[in-house]
This record gives sequence, C-alpha cells and structure tokens, in this order.
Amino acid sequence: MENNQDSSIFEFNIDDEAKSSFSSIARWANINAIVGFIGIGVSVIAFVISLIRINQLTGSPFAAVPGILGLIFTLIIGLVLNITLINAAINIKIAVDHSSQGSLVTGLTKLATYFKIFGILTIISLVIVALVLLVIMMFGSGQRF
Amino acid sequence: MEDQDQDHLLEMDLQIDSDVRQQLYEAAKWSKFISIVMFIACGLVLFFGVIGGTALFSVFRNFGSEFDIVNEFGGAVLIAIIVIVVAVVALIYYFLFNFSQKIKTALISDNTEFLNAGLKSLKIFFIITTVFAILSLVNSVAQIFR
Repeated sequence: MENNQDSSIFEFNIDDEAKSSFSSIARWANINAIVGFIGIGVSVIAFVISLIRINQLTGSPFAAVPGILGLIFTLIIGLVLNITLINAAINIKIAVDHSSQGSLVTGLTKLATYFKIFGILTIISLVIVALVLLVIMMFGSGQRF
Repeated sequence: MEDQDQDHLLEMDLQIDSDVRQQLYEAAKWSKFISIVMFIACGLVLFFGVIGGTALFSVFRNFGSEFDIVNEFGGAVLIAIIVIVVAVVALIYYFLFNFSQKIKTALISDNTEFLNAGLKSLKIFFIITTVFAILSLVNSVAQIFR
C-alpha cells in the first residue's frame, strides 16, 4: 500500500494537454508582466506631469510629498510582483520547451510566490479598508453626539 | 557518454513530483484565499453600491429640474454599471477559484483530467487579466495625452 502511494506520487505525468496549458499560462503571464512594467513606466510619467502641474499651482515643492511616497510604494510592489511573474513565465516556458523538471519547479515556486504576494497585499488592503470604515464610523458617531 | 546522459534527460517527461506538488498546492491555497476575498468584496460592493446608487438617485431627484441630466442618466444606470463591473470581476476570480479547486482535487486523486482543467482555468484567468491590463494601460496613456 505504501509502495503504491509512493509510486503514484512519482508516476503522475504531465501530458501534452497540460504542457500546452503550461505553455499558454507562461505566454500570457509574460505579456501580463510586460504590460505591468509598461504600466509602471506610464504611472511614473503621469506622476511627473501631475507633479509639474501641482508645482505650478501651489508653488510649493513639498505639496507632492505624499504622492511621491505613494508612487515609491506602488513602484516597489509593482516591480516585485511583475518580476516574480515574469520569472515564473520564463521558467515554465523553459520547462515545457526543454522538458526541464528543475525549471518547472522554479517556475511554479515563482508562481506560488506571486500568488502569496498578491494574497498578502489583499490582506493589507482588507486591513486598510477595515481601518477606514472604523474611522468613518467613529467620525459619524462623534458627529451625532 | 555525457551526450547520452543529456539525451536520456531530454527524453524524460515532466512529472508532478513532490516539489511540483508542493508548489502547486501553495499556489492553489493562496489563489483560493484571493478569490474568496474578491467574492466577498464583490458582494459588499454590490450591496453597498445598490443601496448607495438608490440613495444617490433619490438625492438628485429631490434637487429638482437642474439635475435632470443626472436624473436621465439615473441611479438605475449607475446600479447597472456596478452590477456589470461586479459580475465581470466575480467571473475573473471564479476562474482563479476553479484553478485552486481543480488543482487540489488533482493533487489528492492524482487525476490528470483535473490537473488539465485547473491549468485551463488559470490560463483563462491570465488571458482575461492581461486583456484588462492592456485596456487599463491604453486608458492611462489616453489620460496623459488628454
């Protein structure tokens, strides 16, 4: 029985259909990451344009400090997510093209990391939304009394 | 001799070994969490959006004829937009949820069909998110040149 279980773990092969799916996943994940990188670039350009406009309106160079912090935060998250995704895509593609088991493990590790980062960001977003709701509720009840 | 070894390695097919299993399981676990959170968020947006949209509609109606354009556009359209957006987001994350469920079943039962179905769902998830990412990028570029 134990032998059967052990052998079933190692004889679970990836067929042509799964290979084709892995290949498509790699292709689309690659495009997704590239679009993400371009999006980061566009965000930076849009921010610089806004910065110039804000500077012209207010005349204060410090008016955009919160925006700069937000941009740096977005840049770091965006870069980490997209680098992880593109690494996953590249490794999965290599794995399918060259039947490389090591690349498949690396690619799937990166894919799992991508979803992990995504999940942690989701938790952070949830906490922020909950805090904002809490502040709104406190502010609302404070105004009532 | 080295070439022979290389050929032998090349002939070997990809397998779901313990490392691949572990990483697929990890990806499935996190994608399930993300999709469930997104479903809950969709439900909340739908609930508060419909209530908020209805309230907004009645507020503008009370303002009278000056807000006729808003009245014509109406809360109904606003609600319809919210419902469509929520439906699209829910559909996208349904594919991610499907991926996690199918992959988990595949790993438990060593079933290739479930593995293929799960991978297809992940493929569709990436296709849709990429299309939306491209649309979002085009919109951002258009905003810059406006």
